[in-house]
Amino acid sequence: MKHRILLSVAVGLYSIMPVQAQHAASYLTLERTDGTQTSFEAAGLTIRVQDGFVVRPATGLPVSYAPSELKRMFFSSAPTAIREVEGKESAVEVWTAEGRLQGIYPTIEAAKAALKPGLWFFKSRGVTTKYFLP
Amino acid sequence: MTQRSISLMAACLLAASVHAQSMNVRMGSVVHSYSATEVGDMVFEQGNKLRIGGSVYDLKDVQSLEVSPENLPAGTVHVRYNGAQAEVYVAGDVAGAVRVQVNGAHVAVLGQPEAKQTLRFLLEGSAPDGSFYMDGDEQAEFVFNGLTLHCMDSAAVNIEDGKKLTVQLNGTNSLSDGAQGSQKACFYANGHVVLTGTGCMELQGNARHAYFSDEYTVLDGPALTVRHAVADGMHVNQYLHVLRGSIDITGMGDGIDVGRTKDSTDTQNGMLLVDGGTIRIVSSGQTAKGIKTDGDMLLRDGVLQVAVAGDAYYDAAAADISSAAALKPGGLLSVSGGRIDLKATGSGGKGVNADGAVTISGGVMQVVTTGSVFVHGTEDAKPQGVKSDADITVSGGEVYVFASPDEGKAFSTDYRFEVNGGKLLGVGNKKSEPTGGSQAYRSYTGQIIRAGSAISYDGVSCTVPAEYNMASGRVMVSAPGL
Repeated sequence: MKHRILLSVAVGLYSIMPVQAQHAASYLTLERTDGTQTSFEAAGLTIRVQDGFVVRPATGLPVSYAPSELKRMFFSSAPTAIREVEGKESAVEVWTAEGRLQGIYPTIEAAKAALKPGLWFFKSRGVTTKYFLP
Repeated sequence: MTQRSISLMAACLLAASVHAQSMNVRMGSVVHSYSATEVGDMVFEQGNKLRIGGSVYDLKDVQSLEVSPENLPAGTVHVRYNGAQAEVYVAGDVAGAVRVQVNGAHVAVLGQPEAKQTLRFLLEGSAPDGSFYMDGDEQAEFVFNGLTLHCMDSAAVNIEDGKKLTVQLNGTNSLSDGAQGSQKACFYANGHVVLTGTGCMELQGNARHAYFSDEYTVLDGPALTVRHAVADGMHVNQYLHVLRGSIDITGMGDGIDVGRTKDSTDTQNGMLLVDGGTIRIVSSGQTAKGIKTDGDMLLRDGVLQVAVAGDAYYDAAAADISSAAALKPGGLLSVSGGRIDLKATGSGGKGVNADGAVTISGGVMQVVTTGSVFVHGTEDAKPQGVKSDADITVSGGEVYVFASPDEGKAFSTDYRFEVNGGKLLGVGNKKSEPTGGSQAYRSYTGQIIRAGSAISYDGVSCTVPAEYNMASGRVMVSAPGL
């Protein structure tokens, strides 16, 4: 009985948390003036401002921007639609030819093993590659 | 509670904290912190500026932007002292409402005129030479959370904001100031202060007062300790109201001094009101008062222990003798409850020296004086037990007064001294008998009173204070049914 009450309290506590807090601001997306966007994992991210605009994700390589080429940045719970995921060195996004996200895989090999034969677009570390899997 | 249940609850709470991220804009020691879930678009302007919320940052002033797993509550300014440095985190929603300056561990926060909200300040950490200064036009809330500050040349905490100031004390807090400064107090507040919380604050006023509020102070929970004060331990204007908590003061000047404000519309002006808690004062300065008020003292509950040891002296400028007193009400003294112990051991020192009437209707009160008569030319100051420049009336409670063997009177007034109820026992060298009242009394002469002994007169019993001896004294006793 005690356990049920505590469980109810715990669930209740979780349910009354601010809705916004439950949607993690997992990504910070930078949008350039040309409309292209780049999403970084937000946790542990630092942007050094004094020498240009250098984004340092908690993992992965830093990315530099000129402030003049930036339009805006914002937090989101998921990567935005037109983007390149960075901050995970080997992560690869797989898109269909129709522009629909098929999935994110830890490596290109893992993606190839998981995908059906056909035409796919792989995006990894800012590079987009067209693959045809037989 | 099962381990599984605890884990479940902890997991839920952890989930909330994990998601509570913020974007911190760091500008040296000042950091503006925006909730990641509320900040919205951060817009770059003119190639060198960044707009976040209502604030526009020149990027040349910004060292870095950091995503932090912590989320500062809205309306909060968080000051973290760490040795010779301090960092100030300002919640994004009030980033434009305050201007912050940090110099080493000296922090100044200025509320901007357009700020129309209550600011909440969280101060913690320690600094061997640090301070906190705040000014503004709105009410403010402060939380001292284990704060230790010593300021070499000024007040450790100086709040110039003249509005209502709530100060919550958590844990042990310690403030001290430099002896060479011109500050009024180690802790200074221009407005009225409500002290809350369950923590404590230790003060050392090395220049003048230890605590100063220019308007009223209410003590509602915490423990305030004055380790040292050159002038008053606490100097409060308008009134001091003690509800809960404790005040411990050791110093050379007056323990508590309540002044009257110049505003005639201020309520309870110049008053001390005690409705609970504990006040303990030890003051050793010449002519120092334990508690001094410009107005009335209303003691309705709580515990009051006041000991003064200073001698009297002749003030040539005033052409008068000034003497120490445990209680020095500028108005009346009303005792209706609580436990009160007063002691004066210096020459001319009095237990109570009231400008107004003394009225006792409840509580338990014990007074002892042991000093000698102070003489200057043809004038003198006698070590009276309870002295009033108006009427003395006892209608209830228990009152035990032991006045000095050197010409001390238990009760001294040139006006009426009436006993209408209560238990009353007065011991002294001089005759001290009621001038009227409905309750009978008896007097005894040639009484030998020994320190620490139990005495009983007509059913009124008590223990003689440890420092009091009388070779041949007068005893006056009054009680219901006598």
